[in-house]
Amino acid sequence: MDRIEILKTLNTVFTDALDSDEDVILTEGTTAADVNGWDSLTHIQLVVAIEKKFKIRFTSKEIQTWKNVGELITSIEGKIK
Amino acid sequence: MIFNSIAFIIFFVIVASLNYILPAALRWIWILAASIFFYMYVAPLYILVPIFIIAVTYFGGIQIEKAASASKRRIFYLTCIILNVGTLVFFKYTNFFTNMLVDFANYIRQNLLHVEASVHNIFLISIFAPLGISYITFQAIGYLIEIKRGNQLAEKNIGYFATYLLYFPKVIAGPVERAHHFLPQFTLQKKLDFAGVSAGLKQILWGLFKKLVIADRLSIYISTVFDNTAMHSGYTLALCAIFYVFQMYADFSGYTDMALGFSKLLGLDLMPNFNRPLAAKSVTEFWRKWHISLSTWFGDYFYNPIAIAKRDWGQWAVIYASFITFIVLGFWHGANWTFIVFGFLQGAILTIEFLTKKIRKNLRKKIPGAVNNTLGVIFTFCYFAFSLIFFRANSVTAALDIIKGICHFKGSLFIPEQYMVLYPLFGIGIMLFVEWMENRSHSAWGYFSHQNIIVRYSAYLAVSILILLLGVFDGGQFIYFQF
Repeated sequence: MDRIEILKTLNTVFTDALDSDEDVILTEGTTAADVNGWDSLTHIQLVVAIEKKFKIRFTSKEIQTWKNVGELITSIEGKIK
Repeated sequence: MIFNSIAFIIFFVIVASLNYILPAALRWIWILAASIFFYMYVAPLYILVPIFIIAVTYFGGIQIEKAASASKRRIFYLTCIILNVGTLVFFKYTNFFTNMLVDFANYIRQNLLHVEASVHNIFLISIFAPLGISYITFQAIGYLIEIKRGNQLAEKNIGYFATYLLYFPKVIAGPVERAHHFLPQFTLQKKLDFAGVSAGLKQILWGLFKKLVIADRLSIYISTVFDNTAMHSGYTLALCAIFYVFQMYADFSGYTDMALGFSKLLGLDLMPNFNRPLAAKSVTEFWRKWHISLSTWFGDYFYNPIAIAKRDWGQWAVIYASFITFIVLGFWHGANWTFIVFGFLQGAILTIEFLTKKIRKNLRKKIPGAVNNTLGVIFTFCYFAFSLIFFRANSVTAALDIIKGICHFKGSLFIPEQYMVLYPLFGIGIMLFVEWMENRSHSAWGYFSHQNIIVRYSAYLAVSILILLLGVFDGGQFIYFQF
């Protein structure tokens, strides 16, 4: 799975987990501030949903250091290889 | 020295004037000197406490960064955190905890041993907490955590670092500034330009309006009622509970506007602390818009680590983390059960909102948007007003008495002089109108910045005249200075 595919999958995971009215459209540069409903309460649900979808497990440190979606994708990429 | 005092104005004019003349590279020395003077103005010896925190955190930060092994890093990190938290707990919570132990001992003696409740608290400390101790230690703790997480480089210039923690516009009541936002500003050495100065002056003017016309005006009425609750009717108490939300908001956001404004005049940016919280449609949204620097601090260093560690619990992780975070956030305000109840109430409503998200979303589809939004705003306001009754009261019993009083819908509304209620109501009206305009143009005073010079200056002049006419000039402290 390459970065573009991961991004596509993340779009659906985000739309489901955030339960948003419109589809979430992410780019590598997207941050929490850009996405309606992505806050510290929902962040944790997103993490759990991503872990389930990709069947991976992040460390606490990883979860707290992502600055944008691109860094999240890098973490996922490193784990599914 | 409070911002709306003559002493502060003289002090600030001197500081800002020399700051303009000095070369950019030397400004931080002058600002640090001014901050030390500001801190020592009332109780000089208390400067020793922030000096201790600065020393521990500065050297600790460097040691954490260059520690050769993970275990060494952990030891340095934990030592620094314990020293910071220890300082805060010692000054703010010693009496609360020792009193609780003594009460417990006396309870056991009376009810189980049936002897006289004669234990006295010999650990009572009669010193007051150093200025801004909660804010200083929180910024220090955040800085250490970020270094440990590898997100922040340890600051090598102790002067910059000391200025970060002691910077006088924010030292007493925040914002809880982040190192990665504040420290680089010393090296970037932003030019002091007209736009910055003009924005700063406008923000100070607006802050003064909120503080003097709304908060201090309301304070007179609210104190009269809440300091003598048994004498007043349910309607009066309910009105005061509503007014207190406006007082609190006008006071705290007014202070913050002044802090940010004064800072702009010195060429340094502070982070915003409020984003029109009274327009929030849920309490969850409210906490993203209210005291933002503190709520994001708690989010990053308290809520997230707990929720991440417990994430296998599913929904319970969010509930558990919300309760713990808000109870500690409440307790941060002061050593009193009232603040713990305040925090608990926030945790409770966040949990309810979290669990009913789906149901509410489905309901929303059936109700027109405007009705739904209005109901959301009203509910959020009323819930916050309810929780602030505990925040304002001296004890939980006193708060419950007020609530009981409110539930007795009888008696008449207490209005000793009409102006006591009309002046602040007029101020609130203007504040809400300006915020509504801000929302449309996406910036403070944004609406006016597109108008011609006559309209613009008439607006500033009108606000100034209103402050002079309706403001309270012998008013008191800012509410948040006590935390």
